[in-house]
Amino acid sequence: MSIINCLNEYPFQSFSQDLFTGGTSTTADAVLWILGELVNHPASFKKLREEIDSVVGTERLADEADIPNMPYFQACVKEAMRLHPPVPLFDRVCREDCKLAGHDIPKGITMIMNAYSIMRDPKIWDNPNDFIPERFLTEHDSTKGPQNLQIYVPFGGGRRMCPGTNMSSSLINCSVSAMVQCFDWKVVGGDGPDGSKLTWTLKQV
Amino acid sequence: MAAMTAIQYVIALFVLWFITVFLQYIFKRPGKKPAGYCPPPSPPTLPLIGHLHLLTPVAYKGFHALNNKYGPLLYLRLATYPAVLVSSAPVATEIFKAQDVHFASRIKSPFEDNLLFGSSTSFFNAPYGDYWKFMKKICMTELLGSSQMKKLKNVRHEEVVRFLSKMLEIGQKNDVADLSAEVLTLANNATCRMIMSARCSGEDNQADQCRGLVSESFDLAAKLAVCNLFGPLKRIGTWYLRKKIAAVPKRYDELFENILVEHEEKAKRGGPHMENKDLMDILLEVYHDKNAEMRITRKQMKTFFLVIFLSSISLLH
Repeated sequence: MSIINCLNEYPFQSFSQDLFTGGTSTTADAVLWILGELVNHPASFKKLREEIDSVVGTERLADEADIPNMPYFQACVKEAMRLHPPVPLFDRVCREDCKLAGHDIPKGITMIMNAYSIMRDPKIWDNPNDFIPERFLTEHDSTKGPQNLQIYVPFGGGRRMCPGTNMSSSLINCSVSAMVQCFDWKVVGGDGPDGSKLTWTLKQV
Repeated sequence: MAAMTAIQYVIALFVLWFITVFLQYIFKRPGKKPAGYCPPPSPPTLPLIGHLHLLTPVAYKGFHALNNKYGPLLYLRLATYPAVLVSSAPVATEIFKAQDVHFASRIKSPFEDNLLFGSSTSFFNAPYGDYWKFMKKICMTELLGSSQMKKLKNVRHEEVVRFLSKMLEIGQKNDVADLSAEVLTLANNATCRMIMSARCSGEDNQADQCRGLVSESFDLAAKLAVCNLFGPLKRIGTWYLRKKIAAVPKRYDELFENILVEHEEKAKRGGPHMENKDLMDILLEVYHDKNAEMRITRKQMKTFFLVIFLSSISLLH
């Protein structure tokens, strides 16, 4: 029986919330958060639109094959997922008594890993609560910390890393790129991408 | 009146704290742990509920606050359920890399609890062992690997175009779009089609059935998970929910059996070089392959799709 799933899926106030109407959906949530951050940061949105226009042009829809040529797009997706990991908590079970960071961990105990804390650690990220896609545009791989620390873990890590990473990322890439390419978005009411309505004006393509 | 209540509250907290300290003093069993035993630090507890009162409606934010206040490695007791909270990259890296093998198991998902589906049928939460290793390999090389995902590109593209035209339609009417709902539909339809060539919304009866069943099981699983926090309550909860607990797996079983049989018939008609295979077609090939490293059972296959379905709608890693 999983406590973690329950914590992830159901904020304690909404046990019987219908998953399909108001509950959390991870891939869809990721798409909404990415778009939400872009709408809240018009400069980033504009820069991203320019990148898509220069790589894809205005004749056709952005394609998954274009993604490797769009570093700024990748940085925006990474940065939004850093701030809003779709599955913030995940679990491991300790298989034998061992030492972790100098403390004894008994066999069989549940480990709750908080990706949200890990990816907002002020010791590792400058201005951890701000949306700054440029931090992923450096020469070195910014998803790895000093001494190869795993500082960017939206899909977990190790052997038990999420096996659906490819499936989820490909869906996120093709939907977000198309949404930014085709429409201008504006938030109406609400206090964030979660639950607020978005409206848009059509961009002339 | 309000001041009175606040004072009573403080007194009640103090009494609880006092009782806790007292009981801990009485029941302390010295010498049980070897010398030098050093458990992770732990925030102050309350009797019975342990650290449950520290949970906030959005659990990860509450845990984040605990991390800021008490440190990155904490021992917690959620009522009767002990757990260790990890909130920093150095500790996480130790778990993912140096000690990965020590932490290569996962807790059971509520959907795979004995009550619902029987043990040893799952993959995503299977204990670290041969079955998990075999399925992981299949997932990485065939099912969920990048080459298979490239083959399914058109499916995603079609669903994105469908979504965009819906947005266009709404925009031409100058309406406001409920983007949360529309994106959810997009994600669910694309996922359903990649897995079993059926859409989740609209007229498709099977997908609709599946969807209803999923939301019912989430509800049931959440209730069971809460019962589980309170040891003895679990039995009462199980008893109370017994009818649903018996019905849900049976319905899943029938539904997935139907879908599997349809796919098997399609495979017979299409032969080995069938085009546009979905994930179910591919796993069925592994299932029928007599030379495979390991034979998977029909039940394992059904649970696999159930969990992949549940987890793409809400990734359970």
